Amino acid sequence: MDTGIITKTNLKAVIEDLMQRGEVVAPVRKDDYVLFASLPSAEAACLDYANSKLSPKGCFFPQAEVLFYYQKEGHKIFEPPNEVKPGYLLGIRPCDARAIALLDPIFDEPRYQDVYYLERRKSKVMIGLACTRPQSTCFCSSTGGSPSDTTGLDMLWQDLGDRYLVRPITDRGRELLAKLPHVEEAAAEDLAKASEQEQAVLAKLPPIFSAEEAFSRLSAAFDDPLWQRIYERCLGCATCAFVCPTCHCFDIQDENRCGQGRRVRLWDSCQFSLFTLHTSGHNPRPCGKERLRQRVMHKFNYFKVNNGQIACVGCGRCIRECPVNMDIRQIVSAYCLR
Amino acid sequence: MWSEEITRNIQTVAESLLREGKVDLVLGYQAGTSPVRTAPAFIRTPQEASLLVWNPFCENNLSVYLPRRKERVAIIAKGCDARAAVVAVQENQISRDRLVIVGLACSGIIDRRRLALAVEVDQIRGFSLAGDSLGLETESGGQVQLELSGLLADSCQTCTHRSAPIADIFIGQRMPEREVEDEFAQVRSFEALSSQERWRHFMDMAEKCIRCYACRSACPLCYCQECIVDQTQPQWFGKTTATEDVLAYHIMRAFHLAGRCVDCGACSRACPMGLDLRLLNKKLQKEVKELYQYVPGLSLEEMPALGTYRTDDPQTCITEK
Repeated sequence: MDTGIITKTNLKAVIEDLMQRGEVVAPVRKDDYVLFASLPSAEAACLDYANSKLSPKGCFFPQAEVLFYYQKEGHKIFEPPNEVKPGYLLGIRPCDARAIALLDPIFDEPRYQDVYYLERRKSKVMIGLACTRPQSTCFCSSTGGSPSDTTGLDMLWQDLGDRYLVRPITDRGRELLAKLPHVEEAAAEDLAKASEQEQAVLAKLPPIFSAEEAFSRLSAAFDDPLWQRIYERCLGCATCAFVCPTCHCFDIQDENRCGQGRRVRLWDSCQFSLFTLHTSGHNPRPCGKERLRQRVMHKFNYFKVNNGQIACVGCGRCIRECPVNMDIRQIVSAYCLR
Repeated sequence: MWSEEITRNIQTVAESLLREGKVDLVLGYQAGTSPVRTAPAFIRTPQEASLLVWNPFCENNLSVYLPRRKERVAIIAKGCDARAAVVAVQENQISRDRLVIVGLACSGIIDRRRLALAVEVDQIRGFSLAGDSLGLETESGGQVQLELSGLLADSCQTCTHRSAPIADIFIGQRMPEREVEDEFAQVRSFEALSSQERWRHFMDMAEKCIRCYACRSACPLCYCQECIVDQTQPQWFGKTTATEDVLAYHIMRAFHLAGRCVDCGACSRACPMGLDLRLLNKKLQKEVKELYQYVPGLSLEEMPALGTYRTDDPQTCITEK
């Protein structure tokens, strides 16, 4: 079967089947927002959602994780308990899956393989959910993505109203499709409807700039006086970085108590002054101007130099959550329009 | 209150302050990237004054930009913003002679989360105001009418100083204060909960917090050059998302604002995870008010509660229980 259909009446049974096979991490309602969490029951999955408050990057790169425990006496090192459970990441939006694909080469590169990330990453089959309801802050079409982008996914589902169109992308996805219960073969009209829907959603997302344009404009922008005006409003918190699906900077701390302790890895942000503060007291990024510039440049310029692609997927979370309405689309556009 | 006349007056005042060279900068609000958001505006030329807007989406406390500012600055200030500016002056964070407070009366600002519960915010294309009524135009050409009073931020619902108490220029009329039966009703009902219930509240808070420090950054009175939570030699605070680390930070922040917090609610509105950060602050406001009859940000002459000492200060907080 190339493409399948799961009717919504069978959704619960399909999720239950997945839960039988392994852990299912999916969007779950919490207060007035949605977060990715390990499903306690099939009913808890919330697939009718725009996007999650926090990106699912935390499933593979948790905000705080113990790397190891240590004991000074006898120079002993203890591994933390392995809590990685094989299973599925269900309902991830294409923008966020693309973000995970961008993080992969950071944590898995020739010189260094991050076992903590990689073990979690390999443990989950990625089941995406095409975006049918883009938000006013979405701009994936400007960053090289699309509402049905399959990058980083093993399988993509698309909500056709009373049913999901199920498209396997990788061998892992094809294997899963063969195993899933209640899957019917997609009919020609399902495929036609899916393609029509995809075009309609894409039409709602006219590109504001192109990734290429953003990259080249920012290449010459480091010393641009415009940063001085742009940064003023920024409060210097890390909301943008912590909700961002691609921000991946971390801090490593030893928590030491009476000769024993643990080494922990924590999300960090280039928006904090502490991020670049030297032991000497010197700070090469002394104020918000340098810090904001770093974040924008890293996403739209440096990351491409290092990894071949820009590191923004246009999910718009930073725009929605910023307490002072900093809008990265406007910042990048300001340089593109020069 | 909100009216086009007041918006025009704000623009005119900003324009003349800059044109006459009385200030170098006017801090105000400009249209945001969605029709129902505004963004802080840094206005430096008379021409830019026309960008200024005034509506119930002006949710930021602009006094957050005052500490350590060297320019002569005018600030467009609601009651709470002006009170924060007063505390900043009292605490020597900005010199009074370089500050022009452009005071306004505010009938309360809209809580974005409340609005999102009432209407699909992404579908809104424009808004209109008439008295207590907020008219929203939707993408499909429809109209939604909502009552402003049902959308107000928590801090606005118990606000007791709607007009800037201290202002160099006041635009519009001072408003009569809202009839608030008990400003501390929320604190009292929280106090009345069992210790287990209160503990659950704090656990929930600890579970949701992502330590982005938006609360600290949006707070006009959290201006320490180096926050104690960022100190590394020694490092006083654990930086993980474990309960004890998260709560230690929030408790420290609340205590640090005791007798200083003007209850603008900027911390709660900035929180991406929807934490009610005001509760702890409000509790300490209540303590300070009851112990010392002190309400911060109302007078430049009066000494701040924690900055002074009287021999007849109540000692009960030290010696009892």
